[in-house]
Amino acid sequence: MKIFTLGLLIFFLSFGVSAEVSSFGELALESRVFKDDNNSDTQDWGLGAYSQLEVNYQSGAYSHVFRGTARVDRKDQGRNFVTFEDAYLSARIGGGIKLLAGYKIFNWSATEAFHSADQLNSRNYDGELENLEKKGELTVEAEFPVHRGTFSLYYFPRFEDPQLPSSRSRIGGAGIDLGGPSVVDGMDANSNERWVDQFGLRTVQYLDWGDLSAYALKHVNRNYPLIGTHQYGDQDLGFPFGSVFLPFDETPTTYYLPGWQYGATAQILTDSGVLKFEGAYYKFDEHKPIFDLALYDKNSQAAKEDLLQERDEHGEVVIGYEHQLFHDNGTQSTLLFEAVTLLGLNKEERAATSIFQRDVFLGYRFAFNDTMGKELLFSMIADIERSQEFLYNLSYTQRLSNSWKIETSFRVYDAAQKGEFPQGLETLDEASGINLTLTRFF
Amino acid sequence: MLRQLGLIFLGLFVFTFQLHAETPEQKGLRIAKIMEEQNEGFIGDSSDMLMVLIDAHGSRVERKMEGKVMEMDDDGDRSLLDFQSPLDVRGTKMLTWSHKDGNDDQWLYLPSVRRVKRISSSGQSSSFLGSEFSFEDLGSQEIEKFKYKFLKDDKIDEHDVWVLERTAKESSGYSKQVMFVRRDIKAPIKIEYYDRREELLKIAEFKDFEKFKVNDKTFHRASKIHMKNQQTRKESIFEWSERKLGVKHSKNDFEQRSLRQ
Repeated sequence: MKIFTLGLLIFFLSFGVSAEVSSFGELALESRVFKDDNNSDTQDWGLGAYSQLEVNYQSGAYSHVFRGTARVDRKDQGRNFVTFEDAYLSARIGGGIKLLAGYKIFNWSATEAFHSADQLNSRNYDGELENLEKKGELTVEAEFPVHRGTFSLYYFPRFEDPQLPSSRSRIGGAGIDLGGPSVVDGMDANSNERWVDQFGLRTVQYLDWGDLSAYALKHVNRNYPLIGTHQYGDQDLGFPFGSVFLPFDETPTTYYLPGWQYGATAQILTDSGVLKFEGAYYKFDEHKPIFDLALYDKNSQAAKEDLLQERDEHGEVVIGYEHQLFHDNGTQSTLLFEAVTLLGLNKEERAATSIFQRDVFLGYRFAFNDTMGKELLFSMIADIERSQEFLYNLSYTQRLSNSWKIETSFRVYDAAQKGEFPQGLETLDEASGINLTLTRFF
Repeated sequence: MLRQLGLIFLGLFVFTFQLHAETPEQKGLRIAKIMEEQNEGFIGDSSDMLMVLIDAHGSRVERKMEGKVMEMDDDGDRSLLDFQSPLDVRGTKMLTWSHKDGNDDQWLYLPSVRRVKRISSSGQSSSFLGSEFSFEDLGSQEIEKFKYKFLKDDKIDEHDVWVLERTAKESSGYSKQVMFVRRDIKAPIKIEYYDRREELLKIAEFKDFEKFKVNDKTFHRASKIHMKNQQTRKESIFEWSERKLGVKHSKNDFEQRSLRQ
């Protein structure tokens, strides 16, 4: 609430120097129905209202932007979500230098499904895995024109809490209320401090044959949290049991780890499409291991070293290709291919690190190129390392008028549990469902 | 003295012969250069744009945009389109750096995902916002990108016109274009577009020319282009309003970083 007030204050103060303001937004009715999981603790269908308002002011070198979103779900109050995506002031000073301060959403990725370069903002995890909603990040940015692009310096003073799914959510909740989030501060995994110094630098170059970028971040990593508890230890149960290693708190909590991230991206033009590359290397700060409650529930006799999880340094590589076909009747097809792999980890570590640890994405988008903007997208994500893990998505969108739009999608998770406890997409195996969204733009 | 006069007459003869010997291709290119020179020096352009899409049954849909163009000294123009409607694409921006040689560079900013997307040049022949205009029709018309051929002199609506044929040197959705260029203002008033099977596909008519003065030079700009698809009977009309020429834009406004504000 304090953040919201601060954002509003920044925005309304900006009116003091503004005279011309443009605003627009959208109101949407969202419904989603999941396959029945025979679990009364979870909510199989949702009915929500989503709203977004954007207000812009621009005058010469000065720009003020406010963009806030809210969602209210009648069936699952854990989905209720109020945030501002952008609330910043920016100014261009001499020589094309830009200074910016306030909340901002970033997207450094050019890919459709796997985004190693898109890690700056906290997410709302109750959504589509490959394109989660983001929350604005408090940012101070200085951008300098360099060669055929820019060089930017960033300071992020605050860790914004991610929106974790409620226990009633079918996406990630699974009847469990997650604790946290908590930012791990070295060996102290109990930190509730949100004011954390985070830095970054990035350069982007726009060349004749493609766009290149490289970056370095010292930040709290948002994509690879650990879930478990930091409260554990040996307890002496006396003769004949002796000492046992067990958790003192059994509330699964999400722990976010500070660390370094270095990465690069490329979009390279070809005759009929765009070749994409994203690479990242993650090195986490030394941190207290987190007790794996999921494994403990299944096997309380597991070895101590198996019950404690840490994030190891590793790499991530994404390659993709977007190929366009233009048909004689004016319609357009786009073929999408992406592949991701984690590097520097063994198979088990990869599976424990990310749902998309070694996967491919295949997509086919058909645009009718008509006045109503009709578009059909079929996509599939397949795990090429762990057998029988698939995510299928079929979506259709079109305008109903200048201000109304409808979108419907059908998602199928096909990933039956194979081991003792679910890993990767197996955690969402029963979460197949249909979404329907009717949006009014204004 | 006689020798000098002889040389002058010889020179005039050779010059006259060369004029008569001008091939249709040379004459076509010469006229294209005249058109280009006529268009040089506008500095910058800003306008509001309305595009009306009319289907074969006559129903109409409107699209609105704001546009800016910056003239570059040593290369093709740079342009920025800011989409205002339909409302679901509001805030989408398209930046084009046209080049005298090679493919244009194009970036699209998608506000819903905050992504600056590099656009492949292969999409030049695709429809612009579902209209009868293609990206190619609205993009760079640098003369270096075409081969020209003069076809004939003609008259349209009491205006003397040159009729030229031009074909793209690189990939294009058209086998050829036939341009009807008004001799007095050196601007096209009609273009016929032929598909790859060499059948007439579309006709664009340029209407309601407005005069603009920039640094004592007069420019003529059509306020309306009416594109009629001869095969599907669909039509699209592009209209400009609030148009200003001679606008001195900042080069920063046409950089990729400006797309994200």
